[in-house]
Amino acid sequence: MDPEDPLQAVVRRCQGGDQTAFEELFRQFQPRLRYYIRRLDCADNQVDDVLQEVWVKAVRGIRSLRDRKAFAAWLYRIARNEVYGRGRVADPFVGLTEEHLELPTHDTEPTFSGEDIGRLHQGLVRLKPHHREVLTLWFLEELPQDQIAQILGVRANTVRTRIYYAKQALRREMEKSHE
Amino acid sequence: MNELRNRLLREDGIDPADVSAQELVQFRALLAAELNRPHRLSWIAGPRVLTLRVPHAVRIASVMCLVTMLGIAAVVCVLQSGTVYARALSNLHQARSIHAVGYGYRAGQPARQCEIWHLRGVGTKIQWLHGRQLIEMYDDGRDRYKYVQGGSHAVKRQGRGELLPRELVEPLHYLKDAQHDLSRDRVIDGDLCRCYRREDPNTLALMWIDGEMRFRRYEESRRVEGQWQPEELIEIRYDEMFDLAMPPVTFEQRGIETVEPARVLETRYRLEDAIARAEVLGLVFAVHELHRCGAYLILTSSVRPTEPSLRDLAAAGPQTAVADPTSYGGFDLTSWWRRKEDGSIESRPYAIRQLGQLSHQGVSLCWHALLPRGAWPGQEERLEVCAYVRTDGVLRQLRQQKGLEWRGQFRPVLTVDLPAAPSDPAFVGRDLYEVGHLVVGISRAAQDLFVSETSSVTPEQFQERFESLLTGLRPMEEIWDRIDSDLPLQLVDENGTPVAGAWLGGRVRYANGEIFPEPSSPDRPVLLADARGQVSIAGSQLFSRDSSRDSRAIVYAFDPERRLVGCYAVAGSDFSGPVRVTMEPARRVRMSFALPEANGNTDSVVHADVRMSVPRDFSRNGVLLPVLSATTRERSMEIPLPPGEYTLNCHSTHNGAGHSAWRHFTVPQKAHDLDLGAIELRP
Repeated sequence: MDPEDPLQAVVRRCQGGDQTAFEELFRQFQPRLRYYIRRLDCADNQVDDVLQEVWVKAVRGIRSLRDRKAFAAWLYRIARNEVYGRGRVADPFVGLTEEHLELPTHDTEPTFSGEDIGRLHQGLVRLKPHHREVLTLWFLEELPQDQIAQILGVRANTVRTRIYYAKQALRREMEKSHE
Repeated sequence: MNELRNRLLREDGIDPADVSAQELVQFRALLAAELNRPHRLSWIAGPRVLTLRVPHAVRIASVMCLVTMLGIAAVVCVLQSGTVYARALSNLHQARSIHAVGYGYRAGQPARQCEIWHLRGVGTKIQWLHGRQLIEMYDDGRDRYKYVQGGSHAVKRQGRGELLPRELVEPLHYLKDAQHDLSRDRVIDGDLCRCYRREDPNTLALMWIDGEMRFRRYEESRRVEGQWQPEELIEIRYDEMFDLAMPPVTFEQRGIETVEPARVLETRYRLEDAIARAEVLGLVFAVHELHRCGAYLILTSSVRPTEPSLRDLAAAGPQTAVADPTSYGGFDLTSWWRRKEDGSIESRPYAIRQLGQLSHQGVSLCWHALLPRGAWPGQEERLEVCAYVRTDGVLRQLRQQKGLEWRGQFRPVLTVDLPAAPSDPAFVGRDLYEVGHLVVGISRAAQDLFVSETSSVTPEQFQERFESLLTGLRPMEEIWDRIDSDLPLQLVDENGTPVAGAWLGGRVRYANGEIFPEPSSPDRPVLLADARGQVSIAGSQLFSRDSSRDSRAIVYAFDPERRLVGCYAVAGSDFSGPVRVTMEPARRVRMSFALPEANGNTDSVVHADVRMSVPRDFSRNGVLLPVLSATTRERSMEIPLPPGEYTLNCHSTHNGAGHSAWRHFTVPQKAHDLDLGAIELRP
């Protein structure tokens, strides 16, 4: 049996109705959720509404969450559904040709550090939505690809390709702003 | 990576380490509501159902049926989802029971004003406070009943077919263009409710809607001097258990008689019982009641379609049925005159005042007061009822289509004998008071005289108003020719000795607790009595031909030291000879004012109007003549007034809210100063 990490312990307490545990989760995830929801092109005046709905659904549904390790993915999935459910818009992340491409075996993925955080943030904002979202999740949570796939509702392999091309695109955006 | 994430969040203006206090408070409220929320659905695992072998065609058909049904359900869901407003309104209509409490605000504190009980399919009861009167209203969808607690009868009228009271439905309209105000979301009775805010320059409306899209709370504020001041609060609860006893049972149990104004009036003013009637323009003009009160005539008359007109209206279509509450005609009474053969005009002019009117079920009823101007009816003892009659609505259209006259002046439309016996004005006034309740029970039109039983007007106040309206008819022609003459007076002291040098005027000014004579114009100085105490004042300083008031006026007399010593009501008959008036020093009348101070009323201005009650020959009530208007920022006032009967009207306005008080008082003969005590000004 895998040892329980601190987040799983908090989730378990939440499932037992522990209010302080809920507050811990809220303190931990509310800032990240806000950042994520903003990156989904949610209107500024709707962000607070969306966040509230996310937490209502999370509090109501946490008892039914079986895989506590997947809590973050589950929470982001709720947020994503809430954003796209509210506007009743079609998921814009479909029909991506690059996802059908093979990844180059010899090319190394760009790496990012906090030294150039301003350009990183601005570059992220300028990315195409599907790249922006996948990188946001990757930067925020370092979620495994299968969990990101759950959030986005796509295959894990698609996530892998999308992250690769998203990083390339972000690097190009950052270099542009550098010039 | 955590460091990278944190810096990204900061770059977006988000504190990665913690959330704001406001966010946390809201989350705690949300959490409390959700964790304390009763489980509305419980999951019950179903037993495994037998697996049947089903033919392939049946399976396909079943799947198609299922898909179709799901599609229909989806369309219905989309159609029904609607806006927050539509869903909240729909839930209001579908609620099994509603219990709402409405509050007004006094001195910034909510005060219970209204309570509503509603049971779906049964009806609604509303109980509200009007001034100091508690009023009950019931509506079962067909009929409405109104009862003023303490009264002997309840008034029944036709309902509007709406069970839900406007008090709940109307505030919801603001939801149509309201925005969610997250900062005001709150937990109400364990349910997290979203606040919707709708604001215009003068009004702020806040509405709370719970997770089941039910309207739970309403707050309305008005902008006063840049600040929002709360005005109204409604709290709404659903699915409470209560019994709702509806009329007629609830009234029968309490021994309260139910009165149907429409039926009473229909019975009282039946065409068959009219004193006189005549057909003109497809209408029946009828006189139902005629009273003679002193010189005045009080007349009740009506117009309604004739039988042939009713047939024409019925043939024209169902929309013109007589059940339509609008009238098919109206009339204005006029004076009588005719041109004689020699070309001269013979006339019997009246001063006419409409006291009230009602249009109901195709009948237009009017109550009038008439005062003959001149020495008649004299021996003839009859009244030519003259009227300008007009048809209205569909009846007018029908007559116009047929090329018939739709309006006309009739001198007379009919003639009636005057009653031989005079009626007591008090009796007529009391009768009109009762009729007024019936009229306003049906009609919402503003009336000159008629007031509802909820208006807090006592029979005595009504009588005063009635006689005041009659007084307004008194023709200035009585003194028309004398207005330009001088009115002579002789001023004497209590021993009958003429007071030389006394001051006399028709206007005064109040300042610092004293009343001073005021010239009516720069070229008309205040008058001084001669050595014999005699002084004349021009009639034009006291009377105006344009005045609709009684032909009486107040003259003010001051002793040589300019102290007020008398207010005298002079009439047209006083022009004929010197009026001997005895001067008696005025008494000092003190009063203090009590205002709701907690509402920031410390700098309010109080306006006080003093009127003198002067006896009349035909009534117990006197005519009220204005004596003085005074304004003060103090909380007390002192006014010198000679002996007599007075009324005092005080009012104060602060932040748009009016407060007033009324007091009748007597300054007795040979009395000392008078203290009226504290006069409480109420909203």
